[in-house]
Amino acid sequence: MLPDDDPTIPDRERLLRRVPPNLMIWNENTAAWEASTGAFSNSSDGSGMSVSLSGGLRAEGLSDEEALRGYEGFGLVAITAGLARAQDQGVIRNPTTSDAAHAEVVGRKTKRVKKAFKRNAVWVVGPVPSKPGDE
Amino acid sequence: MLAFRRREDSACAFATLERVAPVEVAVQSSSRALTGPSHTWLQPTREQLTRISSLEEGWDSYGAPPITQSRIAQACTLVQSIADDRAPPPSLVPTPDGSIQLEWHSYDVELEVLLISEADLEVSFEDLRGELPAYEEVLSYDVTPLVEYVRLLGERAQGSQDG
Repeated sequence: MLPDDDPTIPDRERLLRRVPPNLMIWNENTAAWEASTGAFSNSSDGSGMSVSLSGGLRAEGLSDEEALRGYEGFGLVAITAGLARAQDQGVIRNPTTSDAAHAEVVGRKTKRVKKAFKRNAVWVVGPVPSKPGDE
Repeated sequence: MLAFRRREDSACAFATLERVAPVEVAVQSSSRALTGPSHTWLQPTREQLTRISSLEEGWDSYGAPPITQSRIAQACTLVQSIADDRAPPPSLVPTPDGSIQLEWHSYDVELEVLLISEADLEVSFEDLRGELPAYEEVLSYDVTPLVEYVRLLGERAQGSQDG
């Protein structure tokens, strides 16, 4: 059975996910920082993977980087709603008091799904330094 | 068969002790236990597990729980079981569900191991050179395939140094 999905969220919508420093991994094979597949997990309380809708932030006059407010040292990656749906996930709005643009990517996060998210995630705010040892 | 199981009398038997300090206890003990080929994995494992052990609820900004002592002990035991001095030590990362994942991304090897229960490991392996087939399985107790992938990493790392 497919998970719930909100069709009013377009496939091109950018879903923003914070990445804590300990889930940023230097990949020597690609010579680039990546978000660990572990960053693309559902919440431990059983709800889906929390994200912020880029369009939702924009509607409030805010930039994507606003999703990082209060989280110094974190990175921010973006995937699209279309990518999530292609991995049999649903995207639903779930605004909270602290984030009116909050949404969830719902559905089982298998290794295949997490890898697809990792490979297609784009850094909005990436790690500093640009590579290990550049500090 | 190379078995993976908790050894309560081992250097990693610190799950029932308090947080943070037990990691030190375990790793100090590991200084004796991790002799021979696994010695160079000791310090990075110690540092990473100490950091992971100190994480508080909400560490990922989305309400993730602290990592359980059980998982930390399991990670420590697993590292001891598979260590190969020639291979780079793993990156140990916490996961939002309270577990730990081991990762290697070097020498054209993509290897991830997620501790999903006391007995089960989810292993994902990909050889970017195409010499070995991709592998995605849940291992229960027997870590033989994982040891082989770490050995491959060690061989490639050594080959890189040699020449």
